Amino acid sequence: MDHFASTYLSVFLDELEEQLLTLDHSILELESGGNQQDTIQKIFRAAHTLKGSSAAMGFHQMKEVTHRVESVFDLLRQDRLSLSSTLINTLFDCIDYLKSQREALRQGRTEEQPHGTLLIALNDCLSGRPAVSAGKEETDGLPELNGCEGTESGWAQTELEEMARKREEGVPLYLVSVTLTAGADMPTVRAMLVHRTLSETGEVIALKPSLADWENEELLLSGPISYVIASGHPPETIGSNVLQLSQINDVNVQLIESFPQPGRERGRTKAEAFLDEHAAPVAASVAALDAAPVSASGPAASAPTAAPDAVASVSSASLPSAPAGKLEASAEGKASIQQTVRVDVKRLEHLLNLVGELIIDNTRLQEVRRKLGERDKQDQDVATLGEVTDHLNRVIAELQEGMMKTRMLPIEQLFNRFPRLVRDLSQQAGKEIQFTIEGKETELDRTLIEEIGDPLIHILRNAADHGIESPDEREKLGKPRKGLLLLQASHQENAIVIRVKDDGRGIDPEKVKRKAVHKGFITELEAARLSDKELIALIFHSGMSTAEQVTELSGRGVGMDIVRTQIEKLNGLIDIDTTLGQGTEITIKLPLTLAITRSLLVELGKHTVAIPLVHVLETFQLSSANIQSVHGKEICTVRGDIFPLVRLHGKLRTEPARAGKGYAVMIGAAERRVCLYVDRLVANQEIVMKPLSAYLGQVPYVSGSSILGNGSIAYILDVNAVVRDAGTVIDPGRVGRHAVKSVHTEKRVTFMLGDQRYALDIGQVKEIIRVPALLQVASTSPEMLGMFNLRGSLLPVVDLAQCLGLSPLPIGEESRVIVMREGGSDIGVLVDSVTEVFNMPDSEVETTPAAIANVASEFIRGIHKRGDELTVLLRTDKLLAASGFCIA
Amino acid sequence: MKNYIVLGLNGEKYALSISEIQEIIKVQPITEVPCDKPFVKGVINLRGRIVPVIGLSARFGAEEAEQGSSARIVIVSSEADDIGIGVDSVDQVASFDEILPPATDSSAVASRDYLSGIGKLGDRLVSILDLKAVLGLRGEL
Repeated sequence: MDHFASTYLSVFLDELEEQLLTLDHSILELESGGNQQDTIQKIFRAAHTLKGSSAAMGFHQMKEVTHRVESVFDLLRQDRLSLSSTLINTLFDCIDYLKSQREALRQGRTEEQPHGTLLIALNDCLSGRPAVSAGKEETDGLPELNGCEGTESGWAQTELEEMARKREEGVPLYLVSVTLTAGADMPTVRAMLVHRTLSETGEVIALKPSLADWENEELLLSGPISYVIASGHPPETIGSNVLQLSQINDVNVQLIESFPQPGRERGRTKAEAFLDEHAAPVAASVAALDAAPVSASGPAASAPTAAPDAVASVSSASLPSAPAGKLEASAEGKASIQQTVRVDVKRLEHLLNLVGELIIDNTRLQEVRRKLGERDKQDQDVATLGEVTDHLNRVIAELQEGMMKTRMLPIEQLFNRFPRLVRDLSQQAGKEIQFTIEGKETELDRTLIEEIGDPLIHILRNAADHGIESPDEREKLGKPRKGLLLLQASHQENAIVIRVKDDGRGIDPEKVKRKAVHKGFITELEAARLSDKELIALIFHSGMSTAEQVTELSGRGVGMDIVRTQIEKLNGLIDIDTTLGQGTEITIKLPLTLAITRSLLVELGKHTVAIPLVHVLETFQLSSANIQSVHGKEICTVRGDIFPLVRLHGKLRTEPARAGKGYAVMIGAAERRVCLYVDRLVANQEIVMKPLSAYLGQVPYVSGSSILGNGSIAYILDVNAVVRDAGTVIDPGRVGRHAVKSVHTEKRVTFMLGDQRYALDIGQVKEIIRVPALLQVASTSPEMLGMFNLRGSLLPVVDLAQCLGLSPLPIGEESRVIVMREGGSDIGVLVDSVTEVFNMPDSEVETTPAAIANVASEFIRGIHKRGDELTVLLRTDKLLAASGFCIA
Repeated sequence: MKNYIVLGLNGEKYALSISEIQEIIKVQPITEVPCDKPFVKGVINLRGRIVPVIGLSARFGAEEAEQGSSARIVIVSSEADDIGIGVDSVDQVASFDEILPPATDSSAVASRDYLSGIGKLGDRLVSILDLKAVLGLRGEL
């Protein structure tokens, strides 16, 4: 058994996990919808599978529990037992037991926990059924262990009925006889593997010898093991799949034809009759096999001709019911089987690292090629090198994309845990909740899935405990007794948006205010000045819990601030929208992946430092005028507000490039803000995060590192640490406002064209890069400067000045290309220099006077005034469309 | 018989067991890292991996000599991480006729804490480095 444990435990655990999800899901369904046959079948099969695999693994307690569960559902599906809440709760207890067992196994504890009173409870449920005919049901209720009925044929009653049912559905049944190699190691495992393999092509509905006897290795070795499988696949496939397993001597697949329709009561005798009929052919075919061992396709070849109609109808109509296990665990209605492979995450990460190395080598190769090209334009070999590197470039880009995708998992994995959670919550809190999940298939990085679980649980708890009112209260308010709770995931550009919405009582700003004042977070006076939205934002303050009393579910006062901290750690944002009496909606916005973040690259002395863009509020050029010193600490004023100015050069052991003329980057986390002094703004680009070696220990203010295109290393700034050490809490009046702003971003990128300052929405801007080597193309429009290669895709670069009717721009040291997304494709625009990123709320943007700075007014969204500085906010869609570069 | 790589540093010879060495590379641009181990010179980009590099002479508390063309970085693997060790030169692969325990009373060699023995190579003595101690993983920091 030890050998098993090491080799097959992980496979077993995966299966356990899958089936537990199915069980959880299905029992909930059952509870909400009464006695549906399909669901009961599903549960029955899941329990059956689990019983089989836990028996094979030697987990007897688990086997017994699942066996009883199976028995319960056997009775249920025969309408001989009716559902009750006690039964459902007992079933959930069983699932919990299996879950705790799974956790124990995960942690390497292979001894089983006692199942305690579970069996008794289950037996009570079993005996609680209305007695019909005691003698018969005793054996029915506890089949298989006693060698079961149908002894002559070796098939159990339940199996026979299942066969009959499949037959009715028109799914072809095959009898698969497998002979193990004489003296095969661990025959039980072999038989289990065959079972698993068969499950991939169809549904195994009957076994001989029965599972309970599988521990008898002699029995398995002595004769063929018979599986009855319901499958839409051709018998050749079924047979060859099994033959691929090792130590399998022979496989014989045979279509089961002529099958009598058994009635419910008389089913057994008829089914047995069928099997008696069949016992002979089986024996015959096995005998034949001994003579001609390689015959997996032999008898099978005739099968498709025998049942072509059945095969066709299966593939179109009744497929959803055919394959077992995996498919049922996933959402209903998925009609096709997805072939999947389980891969160790470590292997994936290793591959991803290798791709990372490829990318860096590729960049260097490009560099060499460019140099060679400059040196000798005519050389044929250089041209060939060019072709090869271009192709390599594309392949690597696709490889990278593909690898990133393998890290993505549907959020279903997480969401499937929640229906049960909400059910338990609503029971404990005495609420009635209709829980809906949308967008299960939304994919995101697996690390994110792991990290986002706890905050979501917290939010759901809050909704169930505080948000949704008790049924009576709801009735009084004229709402339906059942509260609605919606959990929704969706993609939005490069982000995942998760929404939790309830139609409960909402958050009362007055209550929040009283609490905040009571706890001393703000003064009465300050509170009076705050808007409702700003008051609500106070619930993110640590120590806030508006629950009048602490319940078991929530209200421990470590609520939303932890949720927010956790989400910000993932570079995400959280926002609350609530209406008193109508409900609350909490929106979480997360990056698609943790491995890649959009960052602002800045120079601090000799270091290049990346600041995750979600933390960057604005950037501006510093002049000595707006830096002041208070108590030996530098501060800077931005539009009348005071922020600490932090110079990290000392901490990073480097010297500022030149005194005086630097930039400030305002960074923020939670309600804290800091202005960071940087020597230069370099670019805005996506970077791949890499951890710094653990050997280095804690490096102050550095959370990781990244390798830039030229092979040099950039540090990723630990914004949370900087802000924690140096940030001032801006006064609460602004908390709300900033929290809102950071979601509805009104950040604009400003840049120069000649002497005039222009701005673009930051949402449109994908990257800002130095002017790359441009590939000249034949083009009729003078604005078109050429194409360039951005990580494998060719993008056009246009001269923005010429588009606006200005004179062409000379390309200088400060020139940059802004890569933006317009009309569904990416395009680069050349600008003189990128000056800063700052908040330019729409409210401050004035509409355009007739014409300004030679720019036709239809290309202008408005003018922003800051002091006496005018910035023209551009409408690039119109502009580029007019120049013929994209479709508006 | 175990093989060793003989390294040159500040005019002296040291040796590391060949089994501890992953590879030897030419000196690359090093990005300094503001960490609290003073002998860490920084990190390098080793084919997409970020690898910390320590200066061996800084580790021994000696002045860093001007790096010549023979300077190398020896990449060793320790626990989960790869770590680079900057040396003045890599001389040869050798196996020692005899290995003596490190002198315990010699106060002249500041680096004696980092030695696991003295190897005899013909008539020359080569100090064999205790990799864990050199990397500061013996917990003495």
